[in-house]
Amino acid sequence: MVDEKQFFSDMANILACPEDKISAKTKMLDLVDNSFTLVELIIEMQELYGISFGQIELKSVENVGQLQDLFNID
Amino acid sequence: MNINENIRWLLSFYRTSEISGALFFGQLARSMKPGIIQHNMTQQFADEAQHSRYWTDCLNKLDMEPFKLARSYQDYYLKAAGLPSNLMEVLAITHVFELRVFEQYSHHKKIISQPKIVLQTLETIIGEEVWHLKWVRKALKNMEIEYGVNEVQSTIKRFMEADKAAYLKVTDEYQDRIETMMTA
Repeated sequence: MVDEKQFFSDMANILACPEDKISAKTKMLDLVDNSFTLVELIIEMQELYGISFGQIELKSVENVGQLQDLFNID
Repeated sequence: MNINENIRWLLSFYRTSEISGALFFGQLARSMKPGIIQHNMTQQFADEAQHSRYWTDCLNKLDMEPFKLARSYQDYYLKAAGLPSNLMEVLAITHVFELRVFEQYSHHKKIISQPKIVLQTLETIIGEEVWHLKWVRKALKNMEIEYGVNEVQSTIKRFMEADKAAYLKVTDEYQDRIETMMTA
């Protein structure tokens, strides 16, 4: 089972940014320099965790905590 | 409207759209991991960039300089469609996008009286667009195993609705000019 710390670490790894930049409250748009980086992040995270979801589920996600919920991360 | 000015505007519109398309697909290609889909997407954005060059060449052969157009249909597309969030959605958005381009060029081809060089350029580009449609359709078909036929079809339908909304918003001038050419 992946925990929050690992989840943040994986995100930081994909985005090539410091881990301490990421918390549950961090806004997704503050983490990326353009919207296509967000596409890249979301696709890679889904592959990494073997989870698949679509645009409709992602629509309400504004911060990292809400993304964690989508991935079922405690 | 002057015929030459219409030709210049329409070819400039295609040229700008192809540049925007190349950038759009280039960024999507970068979001993918290495593999056949990324390989084909890379070919596709290279083609779009080439198409833009073909239109520039075509304009120059007609002794025309391209207009700098501020907006293109693609610029509004993501806003209307929203970001794709998995590979199937990336392909679905690509499929809808390519259908629109194919439809536009095929429509333009029906203009009876137009310079030969325009017709030749359209035929070259349409030939390459056919390959774009083919590879994406094949890749989407393969995705039906993972995502299910209904999910793939409903995603395409959703993006087609967004496409219509984006198209209606930005193409008034295009429609006016192409209809003038069709009826001239």
